[in-house]
Amino acid sequence: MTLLFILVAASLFSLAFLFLAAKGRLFPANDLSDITTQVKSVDLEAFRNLMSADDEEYLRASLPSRQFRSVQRARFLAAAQYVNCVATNAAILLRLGEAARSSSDAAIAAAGQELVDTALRLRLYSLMVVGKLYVGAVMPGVKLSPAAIADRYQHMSGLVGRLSRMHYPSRTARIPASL
Amino acid sequence: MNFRRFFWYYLWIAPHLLQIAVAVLMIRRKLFRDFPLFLSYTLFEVANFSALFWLYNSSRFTVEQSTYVYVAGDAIGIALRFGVIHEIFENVFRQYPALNQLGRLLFRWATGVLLVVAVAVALSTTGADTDRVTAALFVTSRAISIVQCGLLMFLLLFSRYFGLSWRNYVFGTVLGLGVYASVQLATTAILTQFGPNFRSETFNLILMATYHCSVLIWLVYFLSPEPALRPVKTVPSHDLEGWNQELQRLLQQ
Repeated sequence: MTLLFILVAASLFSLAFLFLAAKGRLFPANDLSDITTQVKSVDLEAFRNLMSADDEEYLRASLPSRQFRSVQRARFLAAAQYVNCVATNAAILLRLGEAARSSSDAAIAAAGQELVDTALRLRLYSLMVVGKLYVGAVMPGVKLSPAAIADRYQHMSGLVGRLSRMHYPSRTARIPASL
Repeated sequence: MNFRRFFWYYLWIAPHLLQIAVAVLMIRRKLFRDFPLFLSYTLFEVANFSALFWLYNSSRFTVEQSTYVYVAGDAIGIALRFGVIHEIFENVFRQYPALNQLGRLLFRWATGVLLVVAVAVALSTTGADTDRVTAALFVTSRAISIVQCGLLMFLLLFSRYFGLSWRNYVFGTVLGLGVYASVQLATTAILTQFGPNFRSETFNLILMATYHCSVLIWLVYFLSPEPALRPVKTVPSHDLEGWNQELQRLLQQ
Protein backbone atom coordinates (compact mmCIF):
# COMPACT_ATOMS: atom_id res chain seq x y z
CA MET A 1 0.00 0.00 0.00
CA THR A 2 2.90 2.34 0.81
CA LEU A 3 4.31 1.72 -2.65
CA LEU A 4 0.96 2.61 -4.18
CA PHE A 5 0.89 5.92 -2.32
CA ILE A 6 4.47 6.71 -3.37
CA LEU A 7 3.74 5.98 -7.04
CA VAL A 8 0.46 7.92 -7.07
CA ALA A 9 2.20 10.84 -5.31
CA ALA A 10 5.01 10.70 -7.89
CA SER A 11 2.43 10.73 -10.64
CA LEU A 12 0.64 13.76 -9.13
CA PHE A 13 3.95 15.55 -8.61
CA SER A 14 4.97 15.05 -12.22
CA LEU A 15 1.55 16.22 -13.43
CA ALA A 16 1.84 19.37 -11.28
CA PHE A 17 5.38 19.93 -12.55
CA LEU A 18 4.22 19.57 -16.14
CA PHE A 19 1.34 21.95 -15.50
CA LEU A 20 3.70 24.59 -14.09
CA ALA A 21 6.09 24.07 -16.98
CA ALA A 22 3.24 24.51 -19.47
CA LYS A 23 2.20 27.72 -17.71
CA GLY A 24 5.73 28.99 -18.35
CA ARG A 25 6.64 29.33 -14.69
CA LEU A 26 9.60 26.97 -14.77
CA PHE A 27 11.46 27.94 -17.88
CA PRO A 28 12.96 31.25 -18.98
CA ALA A 29 10.90 33.42 -21.25
CA ASN A 30 12.35 34.56 -24.54
CA ASP A 31 11.77 38.17 -23.60
CA LEU A 32 15.02 39.74 -22.46
CA SER A 33 13.54 43.10 -21.51
CA ASP A 34 13.38 42.33 -17.77
CA ILE A 35 16.88 40.89 -17.61
CA THR A 36 18.28 43.88 -15.70
CA THR A 37 16.07 43.17 -12.70
CA GLN A 38 17.40 39.63 -12.42
CA VAL A 39 21.15 40.17 -12.31
CA LYS A 40 22.76 39.79 -8.91
CA SER A 41 25.93 41.55 -7.90
CA VAL A 42 28.93 39.30 -7.26
CA ASP A 43 32.10 40.63 -5.65
CA LEU A 44 34.80 38.50 -7.12
CA GLU A 45 37.62 39.71 -4.85
CA ALA A 46 35.50 39.17 -1.75
CA PHE A 47 34.84 35.62 -2.84
CA ARG A 48 38.54 35.06 -3.46
CA ASN A 49 39.38 36.43 -0.03
CA LEU A 50 36.68 34.34 1.57
CA MET A 51 38.12 31.19 0.07
CA SER A 52 41.76 32.14 0.49
CA ALA A 53 43.87 29.19 1.60
CA ASP A 54 46.23 31.54 3.45
CA ASP A 55 43.36 32.96 5.48
CA GLU A 56 42.16 29.46 6.23
CA GLU A 57 45.61 28.44 7.46
CA TYR A 58 45.88 31.62 9.52
CA LEU A 59 42.48 30.99 11.12
CA ARG A 60 43.34 27.36 11.73
CA ALA A 61 46.57 28.35 13.46
CA SER A 62 45.23 31.22 15.54
CA LEU A 63 41.75 30.01 16.61
CA PRO A 64 40.80 27.22 18.98
CA SER A 65 39.59 24.16 17.10
CA ARG A 66 35.92 24.61 18.01
CA GLN A 67 35.88 28.29 17.09
CA PHE A 68 37.74 27.58 13.86
CA ARG A 69 35.07 25.08 12.81
CA SER A 70 32.35 27.62 13.56
CA VAL A 71 34.09 30.35 11.54
CA GLN A 72 34.85 27.92 8.75
CA ARG A 73 31.20 26.87 8.60
CA ALA A 74 30.13 30.50 8.28
CA ARG A 75 32.73 31.07 5.56
CA PHE A 76 31.50 28.09 3.55
CA LEU A 77 27.86 29.14 3.80
CA ALA A 78 28.75 32.69 2.73
CA ALA A 79 30.80 31.32 -0.18
CA ALA A 80 27.85 29.14 -1.22
CA GLN A 81 25.71 32.26 -1.43
CA TYR A 82 28.28 33.88 -3.70
CA VAL A 83 28.36 30.84 -5.94
CA ASN A 84 24.57 30.70 -6.08
CA CYS A 85 24.58 34.30 -7.26
CA VAL A 86 27.15 33.48 -9.90
CA ALA A 87 25.05 30.53 -11.04
CA THR A 88 21.97 32.75 -11.32
CA ASN A 89 23.91 35.28 -13.35
CA ALA A 90 25.18 32.49 -15.57
CA ALA A 91 21.59 31.45 -16.33
CA ILE A 92 20.72 35.02 -17.26
CA LEU A 93 23.80 35.39 -19.41
CA LEU A 94 22.91 32.12 -21.07
CA ARG A 95 19.69 33.70 -22.30
CA LEU A 96 21.60 36.72 -23.54
CA GLY A 97 24.05 34.41 -25.32
CA GLU A 98 21.22 32.41 -26.88
CA ALA A 99 19.69 35.57 -28.27
CA ALA A 100 23.09 36.71 -29.53
CA ARG A 101 23.97 33.45 -31.26
CA SER A 102 20.93 33.81 -33.52
CA SER A 103 22.28 37.15 -34.72
CA SER A 104 22.92 37.60 -38.43
CA ASP A 105 26.29 39.13 -37.57
CA ALA A 106 28.77 36.23 -37.53
CA ALA A 107 31.02 37.80 -34.89
CA ILE A 108 28.11 38.42 -32.51
CA ALA A 109 26.75 34.92 -33.16
CA ALA A 110 30.16 33.37 -32.38
CA ALA A 111 30.54 35.43 -29.20
CA GLY A 112 27.00 34.43 -28.22
CA GLN A 113 27.76 30.75 -28.73
CA GLU A 114 30.93 31.08 -26.66
CA LEU A 115 28.96 32.82 -23.94
CA VAL A 116 26.35 30.03 -23.95
CA ASP A 117 29.03 27.35 -23.65
CA THR A 118 30.88 29.17 -20.89
CA ALA A 119 27.70 29.93 -18.95
CA LEU A 120 26.66 26.27 -19.10
CA ARG A 121 30.05 25.11 -17.89
CA LEU A 122 29.96 27.65 -15.09
CA ARG A 123 26.48 26.52 -14.12
CA LEU A 124 27.62 22.93 -13.95
CA TYR A 125 30.73 23.90 -12.05
CA SER A 126 28.64 25.97 -9.63
CA LEU A 127 26.41 22.98 -8.93
CA MET A 128 29.42 20.91 -7.95
CA VAL A 129 31.09 23.67 -5.94
CA VAL A 130 27.93 24.42 -3.98
CA GLY A 131 27.70 20.72 -3.17
CA LYS A 132 31.27 20.75 -1.93
CA LEU A 133 30.69 23.93 0.08
CA TYR A 134 27.67 22.48 1.83
CA VAL A 135 29.65 19.34 2.60
CA GLY A 136 32.36 21.65 3.94
CA ALA A 137 29.81 23.47 6.10
CA VAL A 138 28.72 20.15 7.59
CA MET A 139 32.32 18.98 8.03
CA PRO A 140 34.35 22.19 8.45
CA GLY A 141 37.66 20.33 8.64
CA VAL A 142 37.45 19.18 5.00
CA LYS A 143 39.85 20.88 2.56
CA LEU A 144 38.11 22.53 -0.39
CA SER A 145 39.42 24.40 -3.42
CA PRO A 146 36.50 26.18 -5.06
CA ALA A 147 38.46 29.38 -5.64
CA ALA A 148 39.03 28.33 -9.25
CA ILE A 149 35.42 29.23 -9.92
CA ALA A 150 36.46 32.86 -9.67
CA ASP A 151 38.70 32.48 -12.72
CA ARG A 152 35.91 30.85 -14.68
CA TYR A 153 33.58 33.68 -13.76
CA GLN A 154 36.13 36.31 -14.76
CA HIS A 155 36.50 34.64 -18.16
CA MET A 156 32.75 34.76 -18.69
CA SER A 157 32.56 38.41 -17.69
CA GLY A 158 35.19 39.05 -20.36
CA LEU A 159 32.98 37.37 -22.94
CA VAL A 160 30.04 39.58 -22.03
CA GLY A 161 32.33 42.57 -22.37
CA ARG A 162 33.28 41.51 -25.88
CA LEU A 163 29.64 41.02 -26.77
CA SER A 164 28.58 44.43 -25.45
CA ARG A 165 31.48 46.14 -27.23
CA MET A 166 30.28 44.63 -30.53
CA HIS A 167 26.80 46.06 -30.02
CA TYR A 168 27.61 49.27 -28.23
CA PRO A 169 31.22 50.24 -28.89
CA SER A 170 30.71 53.56 -27.12
CA ARG A 171 29.49 51.95 -23.90
CA THR A 172 32.26 49.47 -23.40
CA ALA A 173 32.32 46.87 -20.67
CA ARG A 174 29.55 48.24 -18.53
CA ILE A 175 27.81 44.89 -18.30
CA PRO A 176 30.79 42.94 -16.93
CA ALA A 177 31.52 45.82 -14.60
CA SER A 178 28.17 45.26 -13.02
CA LEU A 179 28.60 41.49 -12.58
CA MET B 1 -25.72 2.92 -28.60
CA ASN B 2 -25.72 4.36 -25.09
CA PHE B 3 -23.64 7.39 -24.09
CA ARG B 4 -20.94 5.41 -22.32
CA ARG B 5 -20.46 3.23 -25.39
CA PHE B 6 -20.40 6.28 -27.66
CA PHE B 7 -17.86 7.99 -25.38
CA TRP B 8 -15.69 4.89 -25.40
CA TYR B 9 -15.72 4.78 -29.22
CA TYR B 10 -15.02 8.49 -29.40
CA LEU B 11 -11.97 8.18 -27.09
CA TRP B 12 -10.70 5.27 -29.12
CA ILE B 13 -11.15 6.79 -32.58
CA ALA B 14 -10.68 10.58 -32.15
CA PRO B 15 -7.07 10.64 -30.89
CA HIS B 16 -5.93 8.53 -33.82
CA LEU B 17 -7.69 10.76 -36.31
CA LEU B 18 -5.98 13.72 -34.64
CA GLN B 19 -2.67 11.88 -34.90
CA ILE B 20 -3.10 11.85 -38.66
CA ALA B 21 -3.31 15.65 -38.45
CA VAL B 22 -0.17 15.68 -36.25
CA ALA B 23 1.69 13.56 -38.83
CA VAL B 24 0.56 15.81 -41.69
CA LEU B 25 1.69 18.88 -39.74
CA MET B 26 5.07 17.32 -39.02
CA ILE B 27 5.58 16.51 -42.69
CA ARG B 28 4.40 19.93 -43.91
CA ARG B 29 6.59 21.79 -41.40
CA LYS B 30 9.49 19.41 -42.08
CA LEU B 31 9.70 18.57 -38.37
CA PHE B 32 10.35 14.93 -39.21
CA ARG B 33 14.00 15.93 -39.79
CA ASP B 34 14.34 16.64 -36.06
CA PHE B 35 11.85 14.02 -34.91
CA PRO B 36 11.90 11.00 -37.23
CA LEU B 37 11.06 8.60 -34.42
CA PHE B 38 8.16 10.70 -33.19
CA LEU B 39 6.71 10.70 -36.71
CA SER B 40 7.24 6.93 -36.85
CA TYR B 41 5.51 6.56 -33.49
CA THR B 42 2.59 8.71 -34.65
CA LEU B 43 2.17 6.78 -37.89
CA PHE B 44 2.56 3.46 -36.08
CA GLU B 45 -0.16 4.36 -33.57
CA VAL B 46 -2.53 5.20 -36.43
CA ALA B 47 -1.71 1.92 -38.22
CA ASN B 48 -2.00 -0.06 -34.99
CA PHE B 49 -5.38 1.52 -34.26
CA SER B 50 -6.61 0.70 -37.79
CA ALA B 51 -5.57 -2.94 -37.39
CA LEU B 52 -7.16 -3.26 -33.93
CA PHE B 53 -10.35 -1.52 -35.03
CA TRP B 54 -10.65 -3.90 -37.96
CA LEU B 55 -9.99 -6.92 -35.73
CA TYR B 56 -12.47 -5.69 -33.12
CA ASN B 57 -15.25 -5.30 -35.65
CA SER B 58 -14.51 -8.42 -37.65
CA SER B 59 -15.94 -11.81 -36.78
CA ARG B 60 -13.20 -13.69 -38.67
CA PHE B 61 -10.64 -13.43 -35.84
CA THR B 62 -10.62 -15.00 -32.41
CA VAL B 63 -10.16 -13.04 -29.18
CA GLU B 64 -6.79 -14.74 -28.77
CA GLN B 65 -5.60 -13.50 -32.16
CA SER B 66 -6.76 -9.96 -31.36
CA THR B 67 -4.95 -10.11 -28.02
CA TYR B 68 -1.69 -11.12 -29.72
CA VAL B 69 -1.98 -8.16 -32.09
CA TYR B 70 -2.81 -5.84 -29.17
CA VAL B 71 0.15 -6.99 -27.06
CA ALA B 72 2.56 -6.86 -30.03
CA GLY B 73 1.32 -3.38 -30.95
CA ASP B 74 1.63 -2.21 -27.36
CA ALA B 75 5.21 -3.52 -27.15
CA ILE B 76 6.22 -1.75 -30.37
CA GLY B 77 4.48 1.44 -29.16
CA ILE B 78 6.41 1.32 -25.85
CA ALA B 79 9.72 0.77 -27.67
CA LEU B 80 8.98 3.68 -29.98
CA ARG B 81 8.11 5.91 -26.99
CA PHE B 82 11.52 5.14 -25.49
CA GLY B 83 13.03 6.03 -28.83
CA VAL B 84 11.11 9.32 -28.84
CA ILE B 85 12.36 10.17 -25.34
CA HIS B 86 15.93 9.51 -26.46
CA GLU B 87 15.27 11.66 -29.53
CA ILE B 88 14.07 14.50 -27.28
CA PHE B 89 17.25 14.27 -25.17
CA GLU B 90 19.36 14.41 -28.34
CA ASN B 91 17.32 17.31 -29.66
CA VAL B 92 17.63 19.38 -26.49
CA PHE B 93 21.35 18.78 -26.00
CA ARG B 94 22.26 19.22 -29.68
CA GLN B 95 21.77 22.96 -29.25
CA TYR B 96 24.28 23.01 -26.40
CA PRO B 97 27.60 21.45 -27.45
CA ALA B 98 29.00 22.09 -23.95
CA LEU B 99 26.37 19.77 -22.50
CA ASN B 100 26.14 17.24 -25.31
CA GLN B 101 28.44 14.61 -23.83
CA LEU B 102 27.19 15.18 -20.31
CA GLY B 103 23.61 14.88 -21.52
CA ARG B 104 24.25 11.53 -23.18
CA LEU B 105 26.04 10.25 -20.11
CA LEU B 106 23.24 11.39 -17.81
CA PHE B 107 20.61 9.85 -20.09
CA ARG B 108 22.34 6.47 -19.78
CA TRP B 109 22.74 6.82 -16.03
CA ALA B 110 19.18 8.00 -15.49
CA THR B 111 17.87 5.10 -17.58
CA GLY B 112 20.01 2.66 -15.61
CA VAL B 113 18.95 4.02 -12.21
CA LEU B 114 15.28 4.12 -13.19
CA LEU B 115 15.47 0.54 -14.50
CA VAL B 116 16.90 -0.58 -11.16
CA VAL B 117 14.09 1.28 -9.34
CA ALA B 118 11.48 -0.22 -11.67
CA VAL B 119 12.82 -3.76 -11.16
CA ALA B 120 12.97 -3.23 -7.38
CA VAL B 121 9.37 -1.99 -7.37
CA ALA B 122 8.30 -4.96 -9.52
CA LEU B 123 10.00 -7.43 -7.18
CA SER B 124 8.43 -5.91 -4.08
CA THR B 125 4.91 -6.07 -5.49
CA THR B 126 2.33 -7.66 -3.23
CA GLY B 127 -0.83 -6.89 -5.14
CA ALA B 128 -4.09 -8.71 -5.68
CA ASP B 129 -3.81 -12.39 -6.50
CA THR B 130 -4.92 -12.58 -10.10
CA ASP B 131 -3.73 -14.73 -12.97
CA ARG B 132 0.02 -14.57 -13.44
CA VAL B 133 0.06 -13.37 -17.06
CA THR B 134 -2.21 -10.38 -16.39
CA ALA B 135 -0.33 -9.53 -13.22
CA ALA B 136 3.00 -9.71 -15.08
CA LEU B 137 1.63 -7.41 -17.79
CA PHE B 138 0.53 -4.82 -15.23
CA VAL B 139 3.82 -5.00 -13.33
CA THR B 140 5.75 -4.58 -16.61
CA SER B 141 3.51 -1.71 -17.67
CA ARG B 142 4.02 0.01 -14.32
CA ALA B 143 7.79 -0.47 -14.53
CA ILE B 144 7.82 1.07 -18.01
CA SER B 145 5.73 4.02 -16.76
CA ILE B 146 8.22 4.59 -13.93
CA VAL B 147 11.17 4.71 -16.36
CA GLN B 148 9.41 6.88 -18.98
CA CYS B 149 7.93 9.29 -16.45
CA GLY B 150 11.24 9.46 -14.58
CA LEU B 151 13.25 10.18 -17.72
CA LEU B 152 10.92 12.98 -18.77
CA MET B 153 10.94 14.54 -15.28
CA PHE B 154 14.72 14.25 -15.17
CA LEU B 155 15.00 16.04 -18.51
CA LEU B 156 12.67 18.82 -17.34
CA LEU B 157 14.48 19.27 -14.01
CA PHE B 158 17.89 19.22 -15.69
CA SER B 159 16.78 21.80 -18.26
CA ARG B 160 15.27 23.93 -15.56
CA TYR B 161 18.48 23.95 -13.54
CA PHE B 162 20.60 24.91 -16.53
CA GLY B 163 18.02 27.37 -17.82
CA LEU B 164 17.91 25.70 -21.22
CA SER B 165 15.36 27.08 -23.62
CA TRP B 166 13.18 24.69 -25.55
CA ARG B 167 11.66 24.93 -28.95
CA ASN B 168 7.88 24.92 -28.86
CA TYR B 169 7.29 21.55 -30.49
CA VAL B 170 10.00 19.83 -28.42
CA PHE B 171 8.35 21.02 -25.23
CA GLY B 172 4.92 20.05 -26.58
CA THR B 173 6.15 16.52 -27.29
CA VAL B 174 7.54 16.19 -23.75
CA LEU B 175 4.37 17.61 -22.26
CA GLY B 176 2.11 15.19 -24.14
CA LEU B 177 4.27 12.17 -23.36
CA GLY B 178 4.75 13.29 -19.75
CA VAL B 179 1.03 13.70 -19.07
CA TYR B 180 0.31 10.26 -20.52
CA ALA B 181 3.20 8.57 -18.68
CA SER B 182 2.19 10.21 -15.36
CA VAL B 183 -1.45 9.12 -15.55
CA GLN B 184 -0.42 5.68 -16.77
CA LEU B 185 1.89 5.37 -13.78
CA ALA B 186 -0.96 6.09 -11.36
CA THR B 187 -3.50 3.85 -13.09
CA THR B 188 -1.15 0.89 -13.47
CA ALA B 189 -0.04 1.28 -9.85
CA ILE B 190 -3.68 1.16 -8.68
CA LEU B 191 -4.59 -1.75 -10.95
CA THR B 192 -1.47 -3.70 -9.94
CA GLN B 193 -2.41 -3.19 -6.29
CA PHE B 194 -6.11 -4.00 -6.50
CA GLY B 195 -6.19 -6.32 -9.50
CA PRO B 196 -7.13 -5.73 -13.16
CA ASN B 197 -10.86 -6.06 -12.48
CA PHE B 198 -10.93 -3.17 -10.02
CA ARG B 199 -12.98 -0.51 -11.86
CA SER B 200 -11.09 -1.52 -14.99
CA GLU B 201 -13.54 0.18 -17.36
CA THR B 202 -13.26 3.50 -15.52
CA PHE B 203 -9.46 3.37 -15.47
CA ASN B 204 -9.44 2.39 -19.12
CA LEU B 205 -11.57 5.43 -19.95
CA ILE B 206 -9.26 7.67 -17.88
CA LEU B 207 -6.23 6.39 -19.77
CA MET B 208 -7.95 6.80 -23.13
CA ALA B 209 -9.04 10.33 -22.22
CA THR B 210 -5.47 11.14 -21.16
CA TYR B 211 -4.13 9.89 -24.46
CA HIS B 212 -6.68 12.09 -26.20
CA CYS B 213 -5.40 15.08 -24.17
CA SER B 214 -1.80 14.21 -25.06
CA VAL B 215 -2.60 14.13 -28.77
CA LEU B 216 -4.41 17.47 -28.44
CA ILE B 217 -1.32 18.91 -26.70
CA TRP B 218 0.89 17.71 -29.56
CA LEU B 219 -1.49 19.15 -32.12
CA VAL B 220 -1.67 22.54 -30.38
CA TYR B 221 2.12 22.79 -29.96
CA PHE B 222 2.80 21.70 -33.53
CA LEU B 223 0.27 24.25 -34.79
CA SER B 224 1.54 27.17 -32.72
CA PRO B 225 4.32 29.24 -34.29
CA GLU B 226 7.78 29.26 -32.77
CA PRO B 227 8.23 32.44 -30.70
CA ALA B 228 11.11 34.41 -32.14
CA LEU B 229 14.08 35.19 -29.90
CA ARG B 230 14.32 38.88 -29.24
CA PRO B 231 17.60 39.91 -30.86
CA VAL B 232 20.20 41.32 -28.49
CA LYS B 233 20.76 44.35 -30.69
CA THR B 234 17.29 45.66 -29.94
CA VAL B 235 17.97 45.85 -26.21
CA PRO B 236 17.46 49.54 -25.40
CA SER B 237 20.46 51.44 -24.15
CA HIS B 238 18.85 52.22 -20.78
CA ASP B 239 18.93 48.50 -20.05
CA LEU B 240 22.68 48.72 -19.68
CA GLU B 241 22.30 51.60 -17.30
CA GLY B 242 19.83 49.51 -15.35
CA TRP B 243 22.55 46.92 -14.81
CA ASN B 244 24.72 49.56 -13.19
CA GLN B 245 21.85 50.83 -11.04
CA GLU B 246 21.08 47.32 -9.94
CA LEU B 247 24.71 46.84 -8.99
CA GLN B 248 24.73 50.05 -6.91
CA ARG B 249 21.50 49.06 -5.18
CA LEU B 250 22.86 45.62 -4.36
CA LEU B 251 26.17 47.04 -3.16
CA GLN B 252 24.42 49.44 -0.77
CA GLN B 253 22.28 46.73 0.82
